[in-house]
Amino acid sequence: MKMKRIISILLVLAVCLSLAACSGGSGSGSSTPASTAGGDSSAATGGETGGETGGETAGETGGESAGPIDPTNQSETMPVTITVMTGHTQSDSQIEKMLEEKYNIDITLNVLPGWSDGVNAITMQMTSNDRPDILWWWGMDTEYAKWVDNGLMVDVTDYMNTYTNIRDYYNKMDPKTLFYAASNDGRIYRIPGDVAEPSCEVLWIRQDWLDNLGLETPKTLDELEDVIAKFTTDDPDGNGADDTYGLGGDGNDFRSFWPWIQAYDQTHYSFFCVDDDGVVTYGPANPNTKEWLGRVADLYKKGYVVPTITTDTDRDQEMANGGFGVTYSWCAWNNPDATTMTSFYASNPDAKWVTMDMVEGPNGMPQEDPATSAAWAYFGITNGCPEENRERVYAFYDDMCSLENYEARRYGEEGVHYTIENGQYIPIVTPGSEEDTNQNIGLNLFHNLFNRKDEGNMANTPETTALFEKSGNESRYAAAHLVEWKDPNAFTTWLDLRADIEDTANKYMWGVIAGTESVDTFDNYVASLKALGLDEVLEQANELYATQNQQMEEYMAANGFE
Amino acid sequence: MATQTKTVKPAYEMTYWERLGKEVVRDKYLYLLLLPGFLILIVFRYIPILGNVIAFMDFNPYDMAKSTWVGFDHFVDLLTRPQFLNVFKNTLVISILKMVCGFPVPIILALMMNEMRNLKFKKVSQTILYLPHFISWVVLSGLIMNMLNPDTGVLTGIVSAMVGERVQVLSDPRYFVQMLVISDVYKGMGWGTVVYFAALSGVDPQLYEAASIDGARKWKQLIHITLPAITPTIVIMLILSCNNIVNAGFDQIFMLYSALVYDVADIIDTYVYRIGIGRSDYSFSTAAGMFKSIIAFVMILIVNTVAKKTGNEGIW
Amino acid sequence: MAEANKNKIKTSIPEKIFTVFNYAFFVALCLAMLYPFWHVLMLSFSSLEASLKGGIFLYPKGFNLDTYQSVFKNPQVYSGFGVSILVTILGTVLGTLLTAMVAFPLSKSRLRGGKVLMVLVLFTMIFSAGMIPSFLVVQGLGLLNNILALVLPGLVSAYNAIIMKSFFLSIPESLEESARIDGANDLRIFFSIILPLSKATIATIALFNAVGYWNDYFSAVLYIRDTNLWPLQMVLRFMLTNTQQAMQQAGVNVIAQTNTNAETIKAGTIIVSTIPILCVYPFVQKYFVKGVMIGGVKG
Repeated sequence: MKMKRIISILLVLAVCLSLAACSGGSGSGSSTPASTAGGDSSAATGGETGGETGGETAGETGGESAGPIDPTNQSETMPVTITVMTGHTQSDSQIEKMLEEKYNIDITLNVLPGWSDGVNAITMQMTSNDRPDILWWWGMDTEYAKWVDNGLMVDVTDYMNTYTNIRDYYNKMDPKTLFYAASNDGRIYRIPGDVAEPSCEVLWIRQDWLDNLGLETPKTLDELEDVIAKFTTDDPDGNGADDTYGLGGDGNDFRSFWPWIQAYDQTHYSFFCVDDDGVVTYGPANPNTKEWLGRVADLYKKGYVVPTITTDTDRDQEMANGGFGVTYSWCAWNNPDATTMTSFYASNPDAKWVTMDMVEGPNGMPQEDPATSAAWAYFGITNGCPEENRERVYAFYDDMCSLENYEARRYGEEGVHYTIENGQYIPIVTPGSEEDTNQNIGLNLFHNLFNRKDEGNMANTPETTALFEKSGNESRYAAAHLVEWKDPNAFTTWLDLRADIEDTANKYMWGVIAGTESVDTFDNYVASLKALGLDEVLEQANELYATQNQQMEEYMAANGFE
Repeated sequence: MATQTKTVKPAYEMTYWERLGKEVVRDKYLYLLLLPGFLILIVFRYIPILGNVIAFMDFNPYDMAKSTWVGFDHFVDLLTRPQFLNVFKNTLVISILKMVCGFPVPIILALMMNEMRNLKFKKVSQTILYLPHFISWVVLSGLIMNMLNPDTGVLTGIVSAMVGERVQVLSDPRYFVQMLVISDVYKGMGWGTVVYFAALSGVDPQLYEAASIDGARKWKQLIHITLPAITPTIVIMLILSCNNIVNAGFDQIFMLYSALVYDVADIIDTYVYRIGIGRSDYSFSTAAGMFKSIIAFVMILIVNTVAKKTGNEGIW
Repeated sequence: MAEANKNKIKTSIPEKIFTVFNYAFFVALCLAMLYPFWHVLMLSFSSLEASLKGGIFLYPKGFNLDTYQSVFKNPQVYSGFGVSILVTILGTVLGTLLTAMVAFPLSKSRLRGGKVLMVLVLFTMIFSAGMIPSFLVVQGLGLLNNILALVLPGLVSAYNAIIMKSFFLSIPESLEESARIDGANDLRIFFSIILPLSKATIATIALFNAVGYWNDYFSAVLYIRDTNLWPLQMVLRFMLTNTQQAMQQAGVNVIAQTNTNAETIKAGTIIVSTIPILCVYPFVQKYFVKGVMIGGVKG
């Protein structure tokens, strides 16, 4: 019994200890609130405000410097910790050393441990009393709001207007990106890390199969379905065996069916839709969902679609096996170094994949799948960065992002790591390749942590660039009718019900495609979504969208964007 | 020596506390041995486990002072979710099936192995049986997908022949759970076999000799000597496996499932994971974890008590 | 003589059939068990193109050694090896010792509070600690980014303690008694009598610990930031989960291609990281039979 008491005493002691540790941690967390929240110009990220705000910032940040800092001309070595997801995982790479010399800094790299565990590692780093100077993350909207609320993130609005490479790049590509990145009061606590091209995918078709069967490139959805049927049944590879499918795609991903989805208005497999009157609806519950689902299910049932498309399989493997003739996939496959394609051609030398225009459906508006204007990954300066260093940290990072410097750290040195032939980039060492890792060059070092999609993206051939541009342009109608949320945390009903509603929707939609559910029960399915609280969600969605839309219009007008 | 015996009272005259004190002093070195291990447990287990109180809070990891007490809100939230009953049922069904199917397999394998005379063969096969234990679910799930590919998979033909129709196991709710159970048994049986094989080799060979001289057949030897001898092992393993009653195998399911099989394969862990994406609510997931632990604890209590009541050796 | 005698008594025709069946069954079973490992092994010797096509690998398709050349050129594999070996040795030695020190007193029914302590140990098996509280403790001790953070938290495992306790129970009490009469205290009894007698269980638990420490990556996710301190399994896990599927599951709406490691490289790294533990296994295996006497044996 004595032992028991000793243990209970120990336990009490332990609690006290842990509480002490906790309060210590919180102390250090709250004692350094974000410092530059002084300026009240709410649209501080606009194009015109330029360098004027610089003086104002300097005053706020401890009066250390009167004008903008020149990050390449600093006498004192500044330590910088950077947390980032990168394929490259070693310290002291050639690129890292190059940056350290150029900016007189000492970089400590915290590499996140892969996609499955990254969120945990980020949370731990932010919970700790030793936060990185620069943190990169993706998703985690709720966490991010908490970081800002607790003063963990530094307001970089003024820096952004002093050092303008990053700001100008985003405003050039899509002015909405920074609108989505900003807080409701217009301040910027997170910098977009990677924003996709306006659309990244196009329809791909086997030209050799078309030729073998004497078919034309389909122009409409009906024609496409016809080609898919013939690709399955008419032995397009001429080997006498029934071993081909019409449509292939990434498993468990509705985007494989994009040509059918885009053929109808006001429908989507997961996004909220908005019509021309500004009414917001939930894509998977809209009546047109029934239309495309029915058509896809019919194709699947007839055996025209690769059957593994319903499970989480890897398209690259399906692709290499060459069993299908149509797929909706990356524009980047058009590049000569796309491994999926090279390995496909290695085993199918006579085959020919080509891109084609999106087919026209009943709505008469062929559209590619639009990417969001908002970034999918962000980075920011945390309060772990000493106050006197913050501006310099932003300044050097911004300098790194200028077109010229970006190319140098992303692709290395011309003649050593790549050559330019006829204006086209030819890698000697491909960024992120094993060679890159093994020689510790570090070409992919800050991949995701600011990624240029303009001419800085040298890896694209001119044809690929054109493809991206065309695809992007032909996705704007669809983009205008899909909703992106600026502040997902304000959407409380969705936060609460999302998992249940999405589960039900996914279960039903995949069920219909696989044939275990009937499209005739669509009304029951919608009723079950309503039973989960969809109406409540939509009510809030409409309110939020109205506010957000107004904010956006004001932002665009205030900053001189159309 | 003489003076000492004078001061010490005989045991029957001592009060409870005196006896306790004396015994603790007597066993002081035993307690000393326990100390380092328990220190580790206290620092790295009990203190963090106390941290599970965040299940009753709206926890703010970035500023503890801003956390608020919410009582059982998160538990109520979990238990009243529309899908909760289904995922709870799935968890139990999958874990119990895994237990029921996975439990006898190693015993039978160990018994069979025990009948082998070739020592080398025995050793090599033990090593090989243990191999899948080292292959993670990330790797194994890739292989399973490969083998069950409806066009090219080696197992597809066998499965289709067995059920009499072309099936796609990974997206068919009728076969998905069976696949989970079989692959789990497959991965785990090597380790179990080692344990039972160890128990079997502890059985006194003289018992068998005596039995065979008496003319007892193998089958009878099995029933009357072997099984009773390894019953304690079976009981302890059973009690320990109760811990898994609410762990239906997150890694395995997470790697293999899809929306089509949510109805049968979605378990508490995967459900809580999906709720947590983008919401990262530590209090909620801690509450879910605690809910599971409590069920496991109660199960172990019950089974341990039953085991002891029926004359077996329990864990404590 | 005795062996021959036994055979004579036991062998009957149904038993012969059984024996044949038994061996055949185990051969088949072993082949099935071997396959995943074999598959990965053959994949690692195959060409990149063949690996991308997937399917069955009973032999290398397009045999080459590029994979291993590449794996062994990767400096991270070396640093990972170093860390993993250090962590495994520390964890195995300390963990096995501490577990034995916990299990021995708990095997004594005379120990006051022993049952309560046993339940407390068991408690740690059932109730797991949350990520954040564990992290705060490790941070509080100043162990972040320290190899000790990978070693200390997992030193005492309830499961292993229960196995060891069972073993200690099977050691005859009389051995201790005679030592006690010679004036030995419990410490001496434990270190100079019990431990030397327990080679089997120590070897067994040491292997469990070694496997546990060798395969652990999650502690590193939480406590290690410096990639030079990543254990090998973390390097491997990073490669294995650096895929689009993992991104989708992690809630990223995948909007661009990711660079992923080639299947062959993944396979090669799996082999390289699994071989060491497989090499140790056969040497420890002979102790297993005596080492894992869970629940004692009524004989």
